[in-house]
Amino acid sequence: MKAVTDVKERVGRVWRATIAIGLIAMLLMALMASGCRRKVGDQDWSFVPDPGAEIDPTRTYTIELWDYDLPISWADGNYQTFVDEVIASFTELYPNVQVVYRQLDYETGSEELAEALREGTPPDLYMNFGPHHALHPRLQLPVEGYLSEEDLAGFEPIALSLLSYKAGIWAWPRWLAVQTWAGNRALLEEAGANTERIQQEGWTWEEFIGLAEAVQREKSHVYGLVTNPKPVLLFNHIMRGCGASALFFAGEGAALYEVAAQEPPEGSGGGEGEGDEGEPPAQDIAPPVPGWSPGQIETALGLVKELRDKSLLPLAGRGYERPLEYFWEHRAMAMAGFGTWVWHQSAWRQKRIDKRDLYPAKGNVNVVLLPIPHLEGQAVAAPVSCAALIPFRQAEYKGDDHTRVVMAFAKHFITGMGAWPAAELGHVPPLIMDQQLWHQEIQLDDANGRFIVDYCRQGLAPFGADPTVAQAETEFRESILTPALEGFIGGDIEPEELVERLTRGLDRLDPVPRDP
Amino acid sequence: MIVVGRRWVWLVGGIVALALMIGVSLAGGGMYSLLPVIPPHDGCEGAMEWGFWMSSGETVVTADPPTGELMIVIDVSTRTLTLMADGQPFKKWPCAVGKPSTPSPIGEWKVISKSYNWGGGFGSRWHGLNVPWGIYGIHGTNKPGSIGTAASGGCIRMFNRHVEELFQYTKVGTPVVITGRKIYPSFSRILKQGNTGRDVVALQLRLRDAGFDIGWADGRYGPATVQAIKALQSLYGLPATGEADNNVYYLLNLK
Repeated sequence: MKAVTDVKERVGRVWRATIAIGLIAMLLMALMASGCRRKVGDQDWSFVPDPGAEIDPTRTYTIELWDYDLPISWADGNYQTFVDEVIASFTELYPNVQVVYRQLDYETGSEELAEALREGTPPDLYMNFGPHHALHPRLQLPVEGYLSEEDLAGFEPIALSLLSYKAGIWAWPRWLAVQTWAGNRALLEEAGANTERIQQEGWTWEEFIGLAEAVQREKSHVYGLVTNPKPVLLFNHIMRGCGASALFFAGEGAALYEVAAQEPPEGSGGGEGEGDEGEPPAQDIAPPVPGWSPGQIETALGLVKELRDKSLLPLAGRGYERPLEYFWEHRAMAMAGFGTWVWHQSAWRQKRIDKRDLYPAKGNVNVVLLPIPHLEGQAVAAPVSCAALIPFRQAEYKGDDHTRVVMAFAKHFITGMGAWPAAELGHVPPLIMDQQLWHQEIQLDDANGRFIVDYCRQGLAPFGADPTVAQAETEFRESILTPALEGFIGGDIEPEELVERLTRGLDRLDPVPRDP
Repeated sequence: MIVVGRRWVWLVGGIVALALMIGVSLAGGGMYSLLPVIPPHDGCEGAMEWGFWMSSGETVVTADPPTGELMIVIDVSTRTLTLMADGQPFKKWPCAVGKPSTPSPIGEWKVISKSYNWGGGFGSRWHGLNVPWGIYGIHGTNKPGSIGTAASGGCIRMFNRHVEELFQYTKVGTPVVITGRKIYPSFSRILKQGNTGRDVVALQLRLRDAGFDIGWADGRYGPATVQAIKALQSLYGLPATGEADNNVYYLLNLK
């Protein structure tokens, strides 16, 4: 009996050992198999496809682009028509490529992308309006390998800076959107402003306040400034006027994506005007630096309070929410917090007036685009963002040849006729050679057009597309700055309390390592 | 010899004529009513009680029927109704449209009901349209002299023989576009989901001109219009509420 029991025990131990060895072997095999598929790039932001991979002419490639509809139309078509033409022109060059195009809903598109990224099945290209473009550390693809030195030199430097992170460029720029102020030229000049000089050289806060008060003395129903109902936009502008180029300070550990001032090449859209030769260089002009200091916040809040106390800015419930109405009805000297499309809108309004579809009581507004006012002796970093096509790979990688096709399509999409949507929306094409076409196509008023391009070149991107900074900025704006500013505008929070709240929030969220 | 006074002659003659007219009207079919009946108000705003009855009135159609996707396009400026087949004009007829005080509803509608022989001012056929602010339709008439003029309360009037032919081709659901006049509502209210009206039509047409897809400009502020407004607001940096307020009207150059 005992012998039988011993045998049974031994057999049991052997079976258990066999099963354990089998499981370990399977685990090792699985690890080895995944190791075989391991590619350089399992670290965040390190995947580098081979830009020289050959495209197989016998293979059919299918690439997917997720985009959003744009409000562009003409007699024979709309944005979809434009996209169809671009795709058709690409597939003529690459007959073995199919492009699957999908338009997302503005409300749910970013969520759909996030879901696809979680599942490892993002589209090959995604249209991102920004301002943040480093969206996924492992599935996003760098594009600089597909750009020659000549290609790189052809882009506006700010466009590449805004898309750069960890020595890579992570998207294809479609357009640059810069926020300027818009002025009612007639009201400004009646108050004694030299709008041409202001556009070219800038204006101080003192000068702006003086002109606003002068206008109001003559026309008490006219405000000096109306603004986008989102208070964070105006406040961001004022902070820039106080010398801040970004929310957070750049510590030793931060990579700074400095934009070197460049002379535009021949034939570019901007800078065609004659400069004053022999003009002495500007002295004592402080450059903008990243970081909101308590002193700057206090100064900026003081300026907002001054606008409010002097009734130069309409109050909540008394016109604050109706900036466009006040501006187009000649009830505001200037408007802040909107894009350069405002001048475009002026042209559209004039067409409707000419066709007798619109009858404004006081006629159209002659719009002059203006820089953000600045403190005396302070340069301003223009608020510039970039819309771009972001290339992704899927968790089941389709190969470097597939990636090469995707990059070829992206490059085709953003160049040449790709500048047309930018022009229609009043934005700046990121390719300098397209800016000439842009000027011709949209018959842009020369002064405003030159200003838009020049002002874009005053943009700075101290943190590039750094995703940790982007996340911290988003959290600060949504959870701290916006509610605090709404309370301040509504008169519920005093400036001192606001300074403290914002400073505490910035300290808490600061993603940049500081010096010890 | 019986001498009959002139008055009596006229009286008897009038009664006979009246009897004839009534008899002809009751006979129905494709004949015009000779009775100077003031028709019920066609195309009125607000609720209206009406009933209809079906008869077997058929019209022989001599032309080959149209094929493909049909759509009716009514141009109030030229007072014509065109039946389109796959985007091409199939046949065009004259019509009467609304008076300036009771204009025909500019917009994009659909046929939601069809019926026969309402009679009187509605003639021999009726196509009801899904205009949200009133009862409008395409119908026949007992006033053929009004065809080609702006005479109705908003409905579209056709000769009975023409509307009978049209009736053969259309179905419930056939799209109807009424165009040819600009509309200038005051945009005095904030528009939101569920609203209906001419201002909604004007907003939808303008959104489409600006490049947004709103589906049909049917005067109903529905999900497609909300989406378009939110897209517009997002694109131009405004809070994306989906409601059309003054900022949206000025953005679209409607004000």
